[in-house]
Amino acid sequence: MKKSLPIVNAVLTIMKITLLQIILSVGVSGMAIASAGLTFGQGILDNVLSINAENKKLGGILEEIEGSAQVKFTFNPKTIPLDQELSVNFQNTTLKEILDSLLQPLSVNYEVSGSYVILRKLAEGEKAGLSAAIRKTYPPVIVVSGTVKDEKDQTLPGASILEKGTLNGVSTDASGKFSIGILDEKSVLVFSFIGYESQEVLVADKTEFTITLQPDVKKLEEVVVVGYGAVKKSDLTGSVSSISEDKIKLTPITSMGQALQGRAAGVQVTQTSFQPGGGVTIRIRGGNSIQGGNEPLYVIDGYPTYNESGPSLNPNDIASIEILKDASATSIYGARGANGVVLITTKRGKAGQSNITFETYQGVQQVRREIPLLNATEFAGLVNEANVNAGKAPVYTDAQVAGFGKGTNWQHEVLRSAPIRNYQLNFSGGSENTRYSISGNYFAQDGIITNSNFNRASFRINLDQKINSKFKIGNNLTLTRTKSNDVLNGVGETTSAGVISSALQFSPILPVYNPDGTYVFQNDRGTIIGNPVATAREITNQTTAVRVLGNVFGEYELTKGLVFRVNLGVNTQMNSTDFYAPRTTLRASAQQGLATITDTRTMEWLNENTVTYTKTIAEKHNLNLLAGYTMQGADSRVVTASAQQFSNDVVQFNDLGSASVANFPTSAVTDWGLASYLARVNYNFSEKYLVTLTTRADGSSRFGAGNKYGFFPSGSVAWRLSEEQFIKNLEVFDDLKLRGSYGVTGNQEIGQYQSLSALGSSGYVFNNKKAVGYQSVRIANPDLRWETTNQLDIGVDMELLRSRVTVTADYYYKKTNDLLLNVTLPWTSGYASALQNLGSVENKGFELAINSYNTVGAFKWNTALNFSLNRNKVLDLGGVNQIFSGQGLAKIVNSGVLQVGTPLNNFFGLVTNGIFQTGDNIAGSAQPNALPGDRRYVDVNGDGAITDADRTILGNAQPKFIGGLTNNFSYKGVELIIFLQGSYGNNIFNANRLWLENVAGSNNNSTAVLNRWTPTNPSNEIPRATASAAGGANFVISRAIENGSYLRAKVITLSYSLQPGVLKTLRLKNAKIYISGQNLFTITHYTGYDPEVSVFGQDNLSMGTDYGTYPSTKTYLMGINIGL
Amino acid sequence: MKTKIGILVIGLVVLTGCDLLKEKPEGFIAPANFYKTQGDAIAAVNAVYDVVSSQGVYNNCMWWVTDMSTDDVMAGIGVNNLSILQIDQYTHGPLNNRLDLLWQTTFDGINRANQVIDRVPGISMDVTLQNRILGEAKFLRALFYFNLVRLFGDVPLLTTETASLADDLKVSRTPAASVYTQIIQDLTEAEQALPATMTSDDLGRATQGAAKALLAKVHLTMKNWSLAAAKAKEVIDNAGAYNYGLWTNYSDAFLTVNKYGKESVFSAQFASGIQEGSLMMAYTIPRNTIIGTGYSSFVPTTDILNSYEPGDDRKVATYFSTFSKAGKTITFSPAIYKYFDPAAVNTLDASNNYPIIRYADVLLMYAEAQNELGQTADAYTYVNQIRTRAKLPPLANLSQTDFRDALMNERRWELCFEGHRWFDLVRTGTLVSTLRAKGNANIQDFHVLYPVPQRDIDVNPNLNPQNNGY
Repeated sequence: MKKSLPIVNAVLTIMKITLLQIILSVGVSGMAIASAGLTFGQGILDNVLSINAENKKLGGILEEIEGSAQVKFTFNPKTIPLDQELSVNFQNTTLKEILDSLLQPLSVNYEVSGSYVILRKLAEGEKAGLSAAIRKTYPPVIVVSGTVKDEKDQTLPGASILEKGTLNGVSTDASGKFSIGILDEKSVLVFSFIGYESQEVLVADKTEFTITLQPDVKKLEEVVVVGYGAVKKSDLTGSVSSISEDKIKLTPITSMGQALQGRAAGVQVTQTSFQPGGGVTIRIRGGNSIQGGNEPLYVIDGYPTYNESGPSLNPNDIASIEILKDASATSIYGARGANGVVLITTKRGKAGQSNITFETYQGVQQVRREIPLLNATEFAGLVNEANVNAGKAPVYTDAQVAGFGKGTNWQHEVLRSAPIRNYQLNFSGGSENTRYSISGNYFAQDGIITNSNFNRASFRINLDQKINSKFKIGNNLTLTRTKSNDVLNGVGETTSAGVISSALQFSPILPVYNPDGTYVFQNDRGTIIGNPVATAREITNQTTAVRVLGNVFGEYELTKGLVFRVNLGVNTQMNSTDFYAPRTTLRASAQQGLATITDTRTMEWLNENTVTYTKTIAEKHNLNLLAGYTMQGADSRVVTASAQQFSNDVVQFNDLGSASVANFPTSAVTDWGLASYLARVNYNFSEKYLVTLTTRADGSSRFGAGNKYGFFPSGSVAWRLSEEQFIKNLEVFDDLKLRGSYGVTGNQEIGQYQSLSALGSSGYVFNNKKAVGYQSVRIANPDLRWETTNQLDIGVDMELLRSRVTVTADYYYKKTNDLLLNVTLPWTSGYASALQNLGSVENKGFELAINSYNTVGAFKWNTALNFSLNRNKVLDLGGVNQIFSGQGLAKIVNSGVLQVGTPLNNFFGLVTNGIFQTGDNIAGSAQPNALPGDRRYVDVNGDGAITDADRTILGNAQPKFIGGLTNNFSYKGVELIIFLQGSYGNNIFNANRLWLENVAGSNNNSTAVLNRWTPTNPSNEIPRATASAAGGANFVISRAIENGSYLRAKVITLSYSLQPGVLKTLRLKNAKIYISGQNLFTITHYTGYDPEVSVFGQDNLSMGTDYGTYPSTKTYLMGINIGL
Repeated sequence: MKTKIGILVIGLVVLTGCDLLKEKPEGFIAPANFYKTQGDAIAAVNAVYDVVSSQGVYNNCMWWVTDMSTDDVMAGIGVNNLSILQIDQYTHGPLNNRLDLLWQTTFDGINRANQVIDRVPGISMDVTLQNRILGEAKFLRALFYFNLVRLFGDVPLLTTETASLADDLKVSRTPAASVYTQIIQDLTEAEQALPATMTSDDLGRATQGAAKALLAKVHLTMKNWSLAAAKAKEVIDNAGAYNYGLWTNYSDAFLTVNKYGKESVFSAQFASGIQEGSLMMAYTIPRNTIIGTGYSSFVPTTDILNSYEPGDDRKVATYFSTFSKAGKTITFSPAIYKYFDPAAVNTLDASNNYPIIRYADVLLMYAEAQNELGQTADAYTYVNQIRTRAKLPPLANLSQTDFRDALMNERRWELCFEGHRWFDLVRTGTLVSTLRAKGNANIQDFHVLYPVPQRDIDVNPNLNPQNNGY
């Protein structure tokens, strides 16, 4: 199928036929076609075939001939009477005879060129015989041939070659070769390929050509995907960042979210856990919302879905990612657009190409750093000192202390080097009418904590079929299965404490195993934690997820420029989590084995119906209109079953019935629906002055009865100064565009049924049996509605120095009103809070992206920089000045505070002020009961005592700015990519430190406490050891708030691509081998495992907290990509 | 063609647009569908009981404020909540999270009781049952308010449910005397409405005897000695009808098989294995490797361990310091044994009820009231029933003051760790002097009340002024 038709646009369209007509003609006319003994080239007219049709349109007949005679008709559909109905019956007749008798009466001439038959309506009065015209093309012509290559000297299949001024054209074959018959040596051949500059060559007396096409540096014709469509980059009026496939593939990533990190201005990505398959949290232009979701909307091949940053989407399938940032771009997604929109386009087949690619990498991951902890002797010394200082007897004798040695290094016991590997096989290609891309992926990653792992197997099939010139259909379908085993990540100081927090705190004096081979059960000092090795190895916590995400779409051109599109999609997810903790672990020793199964099933559907109309009036007024109606709905169900007291640990969760005690099963059902109307007008005058008006009306089931529909309009204008003569005269800018937009978007992420009052069930015991009760748990709020974000954006796009430098800069201001806020109610009401629309938050910021081709030619150096800063402020909290917020940790109830006039994600606690020294006036201080060596706090309110009221804002988790810098060097086949990424000015609440510096002897401490205060070591950092019952963390203290700034080499990759000669010998299209390192170095002052941390995941109000978090990794990879 | 597609589009819009946006809750009940049947009425009152056994009340928070805060209990090694330590050491303030949770949960219970009292009269159902349910709700509302008024003093008095956000939620504090008036009214009405006994699957609900006994305690607290004596006597005189009495051995009263037996007047109910278990066992038992998870948080003081008279059977039944299982024996510092359930599914899911009023308490209340009324002679009969059972010699020939002191000791030994000590010390005006004498340096005169949680004062400034001293 190598006969795509690169002829002029007017004739690109083949036939004026509709699906209905095909069905009718096949069904009614009973047309039959048979052919045999085909030949090609100039003798094509001698091919013999049979065709039989009654009252069938000419167009249909021609299409049938195309199908059986392996020819292609080209013509101007405006001049050829395709709708003329004819009856024909030819049996074993030559094509020439058929065409003669078919076309002659219609005054249509025909010529043959290669496998093409060019039809031409005879001019008025032109009655020349057909045979004469044929003779004109029949004489032997000059045949020229050659190869078309790209700038990397690789062959270009599917490039088109056209004889200028004629309809005579061919395209290159799989090895980039072509052969074309032309009229004479004066002919000019035009070589073209999408994305490359066209070349015109005079044939003269040459018959063999090697043409090298250069990439089209002018990217203005690049098409950018936007919501419900695509626009030329030059026509864009909104703020959109694009991340192309080659950028995505720079770094081996497990989830889509990681591909966004450091790649686009205004997008902050934080890896919340380095657990394999772990998630990320994404903020586009800062967080708008306090209670509602802050994650962007994802739209995968037209399917909108929330919170898609996880690993269920195979990142190897992604062709491009577009991030819609300003209101002009996002308001087409209305009530879901306020947090920004991430559009993901997966790979599709290209006409005229047939590609098979295989990619794989294998690597190993290691912990980035370990936290230095006390060894057994040092810990025993601390325990004794703490007890003696507290007036108790020492626990260990001096001989014991000395004899403990180094003891157990619990981090070593639970951490390991872990392999990671990926395989991706992709088939893609297609003809003019059918395009396909089929891929399979297997990815497996073991975690650096024993027994943690993740793997994903996925298939994708993307098809496009042009049924006729007006009707196109296609689909995207992906099937994914992921399976992971997650180690416990709990932050409690209890039976559910996670592996890492246990490993950091467990006594190094204790061994992993007892002499009899059983696990040492639990920490023998104050803090209750189980053996981290047992917790990691013996507990199973596996999740299996199966997902089907797919859509089918059809596009029909009603009349010229007016296209109707229907999109139907489904998103089905089935997750099962199987948990088993055996009796040998602290987690389930009391339960004598605990098994829990959780099954979640979500069925989601989508229907979108849109109409677009494109028209150019008087060659200057370019108009594009979009209107649509869409619906989306979902229902989901979760079922949990649990049992305990198993007679042994064999069957685990596979037979809950074998347990002696069944826990109460639970289940829940939720559903939601969204119905929307959308419209957009794009207008430009001479591609110089551009205007976009967009609106969406969203009806959501989540809103109260009185507020079902929200209306989200936006408008934007752009001025392409580079099209003005006075700018052209400067000869500086290849492109210069000023943009401005303003609009309204919404956020509806509040969960379901929040507007309704609800009864909750409860239980009580009568006569040793459970009796069920029902009580009201929520007050109704029929006025509940979306959050509204108003956003202003002013931006500039420019290209300088012959497009060698591209700059995009944006300033924005966002104000979010009607915050979905769980407004605190007095407890005396019987309710803690009610979800209401109150309060407001602002975000303002600046974004800059610069791309430059520093050197071109044999040695190429390309630099891409992005920089963003965002300032966030709470303007109103529904009347109160502050709300304690942020998740608690053990004895700390709230780690943060929301305060009017300050940003979200404040850390809140006591300010430490060194250590009381011998001789200090302690009695006169705010801590009169303190002793020398105790920690000293600042009496913020000056009341002479240290109380809860002295807590103050200690820092903030939001960075002052973030950025990414990629340098790309290449020479011949060798390429070096260095990708740096960083964050500046954010704080991290390192809660590990509260425990690892508690000097209570109740759990292991970090080596920092070796510098603890003693009468002879008047430390001003670490207090004296004391085994008080209050040991541990009581407050967030300023010492635990650390500078979280970092700059890291996110990825360094060195690759070599095989050169054409070698490729030819190996019969490959391309081949590349590479080595790559991730997180090879990090510059930071942060003392925890990694400054990229957020243990509470996407919790809006608890960002940047580190406690027992899965440690980050350094990864070394080796990979190979092969194209056939 | 265009028209056809147009019709199709409009058809789709019309067909699917209508129902999609409606919220159709299937996983929970909306109030509009509730309070309709007899079953709904029972479920509504069950939800009020649910609060009694919640962690905010008798399954955690009350332990700290009524026992940890006294000379009976100290914070053990397992206490990892600063708020509990603060209560232990009298450094607690308005941000204390245990007080927070206690206040929150108790008001939740009051709102649930108010829902029953407001809604159940509108349900057409068996009238006797309807009255009983209303009586139960009033009994529970009185119990919640009695706790609040004793712990916090003046508290907002709410007798109707919070129905909508439009209600005035920023309520003020009602003088304690008015709160007591409401408590007495609720208990008096409950006393009328409740049956003498509950049977089969209603075992554990409030009865007439429970209402009378609680009323006696209210009057005792208010120092209405004669009313207190009268109500206690009504319970004692009806002991036959109410199935009340003392078990032969003190330890029998705490066996899980006897939880619905003659000594239980009203208890917070727990049962193991149905996610309705008590947490107390884990908090009281030591760190160990053979019993199961033990926090060793709720630990008896040396003071109480040393206070017993020789031969007191109750000391043996109340504590343990050694345990054997499967051939292994462990020994440890004395820990509380009252809440030990050997058959518990796990130590955090035990079947022991938490006694709120035991019959022994009624006898002691009557003896105390009689002594205060100058009827010391009559009082001996009742206190000595308790002493005899504890295998101690009877009391005799004490002055009224000495009797008062002896009775306080008797209450301590008999009712320790059952949530009485702090209330007893406060109502007898001896909290501060007693604890100070035993070495608590932090306690101040104002500590006879706990602070109103700062969170609620922040949300509702009408709760100002804060209790003295905080």
